[in-house]
Amino acid sequence: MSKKKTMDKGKKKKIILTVLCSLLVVFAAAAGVLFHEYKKDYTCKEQNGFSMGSVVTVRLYGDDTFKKLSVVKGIIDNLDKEISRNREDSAVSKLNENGTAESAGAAAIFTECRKVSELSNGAFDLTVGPVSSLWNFDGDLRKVPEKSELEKALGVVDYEKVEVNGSTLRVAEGQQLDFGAVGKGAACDAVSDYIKNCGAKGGVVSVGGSIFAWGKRNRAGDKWRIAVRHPRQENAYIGVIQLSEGFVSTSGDYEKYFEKDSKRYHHILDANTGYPAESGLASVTVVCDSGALSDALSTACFVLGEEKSKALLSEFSAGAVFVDSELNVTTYGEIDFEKTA
Amino acid sequence: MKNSLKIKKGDVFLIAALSLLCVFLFLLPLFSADKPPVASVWQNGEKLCEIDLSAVRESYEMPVGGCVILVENGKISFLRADCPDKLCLKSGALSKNGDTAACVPNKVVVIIENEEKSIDAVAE
Repeated sequence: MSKKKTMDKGKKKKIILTVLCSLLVVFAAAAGVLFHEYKKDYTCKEQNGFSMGSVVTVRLYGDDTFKKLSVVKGIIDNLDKEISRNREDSAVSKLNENGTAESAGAAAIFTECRKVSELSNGAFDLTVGPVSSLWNFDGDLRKVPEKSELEKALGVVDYEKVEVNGSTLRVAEGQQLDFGAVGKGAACDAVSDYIKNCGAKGGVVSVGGSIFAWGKRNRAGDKWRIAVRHPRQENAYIGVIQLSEGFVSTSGDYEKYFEKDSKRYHHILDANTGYPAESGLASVTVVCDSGALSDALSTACFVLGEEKSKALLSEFSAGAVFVDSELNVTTYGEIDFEKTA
Repeated sequence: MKNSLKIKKGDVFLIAALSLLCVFLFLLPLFSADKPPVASVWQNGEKLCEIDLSAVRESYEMPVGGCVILVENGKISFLRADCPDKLCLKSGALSKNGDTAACVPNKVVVIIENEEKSIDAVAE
């Protein structure tokens, strides 16, 4: 009798154990599915187009009715009509020709970037136009300008001589504004409000490599991963920046350059000397809360070099990744960067 | 009574097997997320086609606008272009998720679709 009871109890225990184990398996599977669903990205739609002479990529999450690229392109085209030197009908072309022009967009960008010019002691200067025209990095003719030509052009490079009154810009005799260094970042600024309010849960916009990232890619709110291009290898990254929201810009000596007598002449000009900056850097990537500023700061930091850049970056609460010509990588400020190459 | 509480060899195997099954089930969705590289070719903001690069058996050339794109097993690249700067040809072969090459004058973009979202954008 007692033996039978013990056997029954043993059987019962086995049944309970089996049920518990089965439940455990079901729970593990359910937890796995739920966890991965939580981490899984919202539906992502991506479109690529061209504006401002650059590739524009728009990637939006959690928005199934994706018809946004044309709007984004329209916003950037409108800005281009104001600030491009390459369009005869742009406000900036009229300003450079007539000495004065109306442009709310150009006035706002100039005013925002003026502080970078002041704090970099003119190393970054949007009036560098006559000097960049001599180098003509956008054209086919790649030659080092004569020293006398550069000295003459440098004579009119001075952001302090530009007057901004509301949306009216006025430049001094011979001065020419060149928004090339900040145009793509300014385009990111211009589309940021639209992206935030277009119905998507999150998104990333790239205008020729200047980036705006905002919102959430999934329920978990995983950060965006922005790769920093390797300055000496095509299609390779030197590392990855992770951020929740912000603007990212890189200035590097690899984008437009020519070599003469085994010397590399790149397009990032020191507005004080008129020559390509020689600060020992191959690239600088800046993260901050404005596109135009991140563009301006990356150019200014490239010209100034790492040490002199720190005070400037701190003024704008910006973070940066410096890659020197020996490919040593250092960071400054609060920036989540992981080196991968 | 005492005997029934004793853990037997079979129980140990059962617990071990169930533990492994739990771990496997938990990680299963992670493995199923892997996708082969898919290239997409865009012109003037319109997606022209998607190509599963892992399924390409024989290399072929694809003319798009003033460019010729070379499609190979596992990679894709600009082969020729009638643009003045030829920057697109310098981009080399694309094979990893998120790799991008563009011919701005011809308004052609080639992208390896970034299904796993390992990289959202490239600052350059």
